[in-house]
Amino acid sequence: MDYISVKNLSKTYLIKERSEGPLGWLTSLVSPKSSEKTAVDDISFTVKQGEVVGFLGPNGAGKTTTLKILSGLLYPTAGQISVLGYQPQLRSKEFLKSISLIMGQRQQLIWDLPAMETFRLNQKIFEISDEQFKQTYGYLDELLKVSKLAKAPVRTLSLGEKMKCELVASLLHDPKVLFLDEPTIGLDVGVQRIVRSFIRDYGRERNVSVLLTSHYMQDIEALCERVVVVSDGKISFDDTLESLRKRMSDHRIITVELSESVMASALGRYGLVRSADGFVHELLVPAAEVVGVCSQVLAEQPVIDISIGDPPIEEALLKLFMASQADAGQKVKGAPGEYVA
Amino acid sequence: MKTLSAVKALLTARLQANMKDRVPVFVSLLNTALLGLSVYVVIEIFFGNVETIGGWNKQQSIVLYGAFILIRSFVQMVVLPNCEAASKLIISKSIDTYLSKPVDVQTILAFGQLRLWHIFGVLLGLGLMLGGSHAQGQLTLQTLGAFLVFMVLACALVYSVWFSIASLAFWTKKTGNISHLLFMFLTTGRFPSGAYPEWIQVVIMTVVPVFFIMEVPAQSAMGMTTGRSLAGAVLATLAFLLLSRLLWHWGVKKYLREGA
Repeated sequence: MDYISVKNLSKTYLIKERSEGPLGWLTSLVSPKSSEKTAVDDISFTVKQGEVVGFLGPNGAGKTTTLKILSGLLYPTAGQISVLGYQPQLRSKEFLKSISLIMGQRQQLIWDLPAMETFRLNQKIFEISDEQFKQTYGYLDELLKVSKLAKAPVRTLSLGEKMKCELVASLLHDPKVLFLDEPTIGLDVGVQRIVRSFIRDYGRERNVSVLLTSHYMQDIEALCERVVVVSDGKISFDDTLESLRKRMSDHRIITVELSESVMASALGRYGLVRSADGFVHELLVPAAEVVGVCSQVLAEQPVIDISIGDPPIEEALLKLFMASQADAGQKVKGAPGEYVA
Repeated sequence: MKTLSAVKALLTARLQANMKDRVPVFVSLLNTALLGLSVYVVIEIFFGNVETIGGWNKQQSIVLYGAFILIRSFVQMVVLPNCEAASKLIISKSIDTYLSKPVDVQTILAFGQLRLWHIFGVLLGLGLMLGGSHAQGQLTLQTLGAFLVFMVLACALVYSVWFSIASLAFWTKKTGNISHLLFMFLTTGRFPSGAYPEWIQVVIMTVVPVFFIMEVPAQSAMGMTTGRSLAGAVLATLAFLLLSRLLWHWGVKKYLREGA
């Protein structure tokens, strides 16, 4: 069952143009000029119940705009959208009660009050009964351990602690669809891991649909089976993460550990040396030549250990962004998921 | 009902938080004492030379000054903190976190903040008004009832005017300047409108209705109100309530359409 359905969605902003200097200011006051900027350009995709989808793209690609449209915070310019059967732009109370938008850079917690006051406020706003509140809060507290944090004024909490409380505040009403806009931004590695595993466990246990944007590939790799990549407002890829990795990586990384220190230049003939510290070297080699290169290195170098892996997903994405920018205007072949570089 | 229940929860939390903050309480107490002293000095200086100002005698002027202090303290206690917070939320786009909830956002934002320590100013103003009324032999149940009605209307009116300014943040970032100007304008209410030139009288009855915010409640405490002033106060309050509601509504629509 599709929880989110987006068909030919577009969003165009009007950007006011202002000329420089006092005369320019006067001119733009008398005869204002504006230009159009297409943030989202005719995109279509669906998200099923319980599915966690990564929504990726470079800055300004239209990710946040799409998330805001889907959560009823922006009117679309064109297209049909449906979230849980509701039209988000109508902003019905039932719709707003069924979703949650969590933004890493904007928080709902009341700054100078303990987080528990925001939880209680949300209890009233979402009309959550005392019993349900106790039950849901208990469940979230078990996963995120916030009961002590919730008693201290929000301003005294660290960024990671605030994010944990933010998650609790956003999920008390048991939403069916979650929109997460960079939920781990600015957090230290430990808290990032906690937030990730929380989202994964919560999503699975509650069977909610999640649309997640993040610039941290660890978030995407840990949480999403499927990714939708947008660039310049258009979808350039929509398929599994594995497929993205495979399609975009025609190279492998061979990591070689040596018993003697060897200059990087000595390994240059096997492939592109990505990193070298004397004993451990990383070589980027075309996939078709991996077996040959491995045999050659094993025969010619004092190898202790050797391993073959895929290039990081960031590199695959970067290639995808660059390809779609170069290809601007040329859409993916056929249905989503059939990206052709 | 849900919104009111949320407002109640928010105000209770604010009240508890305010109780823990002691320094502003002492500062406010000191300020209020100085304000009381300044009332005495100003009234003595003015009435050392004249019998009336704008047709109001000394006792009546004390009641009016009380209305000015009461309203100004109410603005500092509830109106300013909420309207400033609302403007900041709009300008920083953090209003998204409220707009994504099934609630009347304007009402929640109107009562989310509280600086309780300004209550001393409210009490001083109230004391001056009721004391002045008593000194004139006008403090009856009837005048007290009328006073309460006019005071509620005045508070709603001043709140609506300010929230209308706060809603302008959907269009301009300079709402702070307008709010500051408005606060300065309130000081005209220390003296009766009759003391000002005619054009200022027009302004304080229509554009910034200081007349209905301060002078009419002061009149009510002295049993001087008429059906006309009641009708005027009700109409002005309704008009500005409607304006603040419409500006908010249009602003939210613009925000949802343009994203800023």
